[in-house]
Amino acid sequence: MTTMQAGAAIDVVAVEKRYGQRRGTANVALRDVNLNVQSGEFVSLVGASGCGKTSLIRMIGGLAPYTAGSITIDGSPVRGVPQRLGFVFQDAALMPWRSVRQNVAMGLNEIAKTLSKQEARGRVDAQLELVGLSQFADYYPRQLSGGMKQRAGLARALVSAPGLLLMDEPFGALDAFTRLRLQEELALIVSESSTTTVFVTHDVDEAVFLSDRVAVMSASPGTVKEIVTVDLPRPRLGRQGLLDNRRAAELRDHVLRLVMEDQEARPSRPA
Amino acid sequence: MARPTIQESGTRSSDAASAGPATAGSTGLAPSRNLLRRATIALPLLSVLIFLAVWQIVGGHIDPILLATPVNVVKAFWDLLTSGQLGPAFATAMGDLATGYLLATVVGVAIGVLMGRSPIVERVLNPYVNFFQATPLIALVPLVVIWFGVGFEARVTVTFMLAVWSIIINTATGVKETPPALIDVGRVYKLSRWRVITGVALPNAVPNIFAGLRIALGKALIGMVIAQMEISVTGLGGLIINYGNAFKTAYLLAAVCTASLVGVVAASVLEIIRRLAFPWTKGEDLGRW
Ligand SMILES: Nc1ncnc2c1ncn2[C@@H]1O[C@H](COP(=O)(O)OP(=O)(O)OP(=O)(O)O)[C@@H](O)[C@H]1O
Ligand SMILES: [Mg+2]
Repeated sequence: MTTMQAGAAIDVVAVEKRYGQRRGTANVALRDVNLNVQSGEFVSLVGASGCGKTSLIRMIGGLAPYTAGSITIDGSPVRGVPQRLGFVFQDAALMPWRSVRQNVAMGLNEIAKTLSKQEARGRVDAQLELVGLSQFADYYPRQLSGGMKQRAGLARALVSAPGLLLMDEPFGALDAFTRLRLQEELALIVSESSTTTVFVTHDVDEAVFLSDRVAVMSASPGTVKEIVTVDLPRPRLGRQGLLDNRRAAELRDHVLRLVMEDQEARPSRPA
Repeated sequence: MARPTIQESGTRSSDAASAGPATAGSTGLAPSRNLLRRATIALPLLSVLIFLAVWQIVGGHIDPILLATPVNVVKAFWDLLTSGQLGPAFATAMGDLATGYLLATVVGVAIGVLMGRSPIVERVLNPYVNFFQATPLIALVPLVVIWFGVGFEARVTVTFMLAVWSIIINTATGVKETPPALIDVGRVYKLSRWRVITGVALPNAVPNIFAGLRIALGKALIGMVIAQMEISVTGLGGLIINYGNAFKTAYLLAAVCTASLVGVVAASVLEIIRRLAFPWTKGEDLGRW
């Protein structure tokens, strides 16, 4: 579609995030988080609710500051929102007053000056085609189903061919069938691009299906406790293919156990 | 990939007409719905007709100074119109109302946006907004006369003063309640601070702003009429007070009805503007008979 630029490489080193420092009772949401994501890689973050997945992905996206450590993208520290970023939010976060086409076109803001009107329109149309929303380009978000909204949010994030794609539980609010379909679509789209992806999810199956590696986080304070490499062959374009795959089942059980043991350990932990 | 079906947006058919290619047309209404639709037009009409009839009968048995009959009010209205009193009074009323109300809209939205975006501005202005919102501002009419005299400026000031607070409060609420995710979207896609205000926070506040504008319209109308009655004795307020003092009840009521008409027309204009300029806002059933 467009010239492929290399995906971003992310380095998270000894990062700490505190909330509410001013009131004295600092709440340490993340401590000593280490994670590196290579160019073009797909990494999922899984972990119990409240372990700091959203905090981490927002810091990588420059939407929130970190209180210690360093996050670098392609070697330079994150200060503000990095360039060529696509971000997919949990509830799609479309502007209700913009049509689907206008919402998707927002994704081109950063590179708008380098594109002619026709080029921009062509890219938006191509992206809409890719996510199956061509017929609904002139609809307002309130006229779309949940799955269609999420597709539009995805199109907005992808239209600029971003170097880094951050997704915070993008399919969390969808029904099971729509979720499966969108997972397959995302797998296909990402496999054809060079973007680096960090993907937050509660769904271990989803993480295994999509990822090159799964970072399992533990809570209070949140940290990355183990990184599991998903050594399943690609392309993995069908979800069914993984259902009876033994290696996939092992990986899923392993990740699930890591998440679960953390949740069980939490209540007995001293405050 | 399978094409997903469109979810009904749950708005009225008049809104859905602007929605897009695949929306269902108004053909093939079930008979019961057709009946219902007819009833929605017929019932209010019937209600008004019965009310007017009762008024006519009761009014016929009462001293015309206490209550005029609808027929006499219509006669008075016609007389005011043909004698050339109503036209200029109406024009004065519209001029006062439009000036004060538009001024209140511009100032109210601007201050509301500032308060909604900046916690500091909000804290600084909140005491005043709360104070004036709670004050019966009509009591300040004598002060307005001392400051602005008894002319156009004073009447516009009273109209403005009554209308502006609801606009400020509603705008600030709408701006403040912009979903944080939408602000994030603005930042991710590199909108400038100014564009975050004009392109995210302000459109987000549009439904609230229109709610505020509707409330403000009623208040502006009150301000305009009272100012014309108490300050200048001109326009519709002037007619009302003059005919009231002369015990010409039919003429008084004709002028009052004209003032209501101004309100109804202005509310409809507001609704039309909302639908044309902001088709994405959900229709509200206010303004329907
Ligand atoms: N704005 C904030 N102010 C104060 N504390 C916060 C804030 N945001 C998050 N936290 C705290 O930081 C911790 C991590 O929150 P975060 O939202 O990152 O978790 P999460 O892993 O995304 O959870 P979930 O899976 O439920 O979305 C929580 O303990 C939460 O209370
Ligand atoms: Mg979260």
